[in-house]
Amino acid sequence: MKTLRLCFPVLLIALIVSCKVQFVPSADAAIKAAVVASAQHTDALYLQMINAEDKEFTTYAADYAAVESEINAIAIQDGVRKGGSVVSQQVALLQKNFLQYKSHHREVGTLNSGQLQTYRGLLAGLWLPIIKVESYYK
Amino acid sequence: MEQLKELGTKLMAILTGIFAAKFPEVKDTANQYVEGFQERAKNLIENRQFLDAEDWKTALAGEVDILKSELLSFEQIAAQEAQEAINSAVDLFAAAAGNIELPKI
Repeated sequence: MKTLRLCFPVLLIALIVSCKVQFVPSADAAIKAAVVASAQHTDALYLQMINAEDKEFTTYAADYAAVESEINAIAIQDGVRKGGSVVSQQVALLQKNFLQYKSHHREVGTLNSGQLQTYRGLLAGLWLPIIKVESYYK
Repeated sequence: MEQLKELGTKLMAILTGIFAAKFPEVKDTANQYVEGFQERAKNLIENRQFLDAEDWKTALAGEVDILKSELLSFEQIAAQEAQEAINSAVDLFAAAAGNIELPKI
């Protein structure tokens, strides 16, 4: 009995140390965060091009690829979501338009501010339903 | 700009006429969409000297995709009803833009 009383504080400390609580965001929260971040990156890319003198595609090719990769990752994450995908069709529409505008830029080499403003507005409009659905989805 | 307001009113009438009677929650989204559409259309008009016919066609096709994406957000809306609204909106956009041929989806 005496041994048990002596061991109790040691066991208690060991128990507290081993019970480390760590916050791990759920898969849905991670997708939601990725969606918001990628929408911001898309807007930032177009704003950067609108405000820059150099509007050559080659200058922004790496930035385009980065955003494209983020959108692809969201499509994959949504596809493997527990209970089935939620925004697959909306993301497909976004992907289609993003790639179309990127291809146009690559083909012509340089876009003017009016074209970039147009694409920026359309892409923001395509991100919005995805953000809304993710906000409603728990 | 008056034409833009009229276009927004017509677009709102299409969306609310088809959906809002059955699903009141659609009305808020329809309002937000129409506001966004008017903002984008205003932007197109302001930049018209930089845009050719192909740019307008791309912008209008993108607009149709935005509307489609918004409608897909509502589980209650059947695909056929969404298609009906999209077709009406395509006719409206095309007429407003001088009958530019838009892809039907």
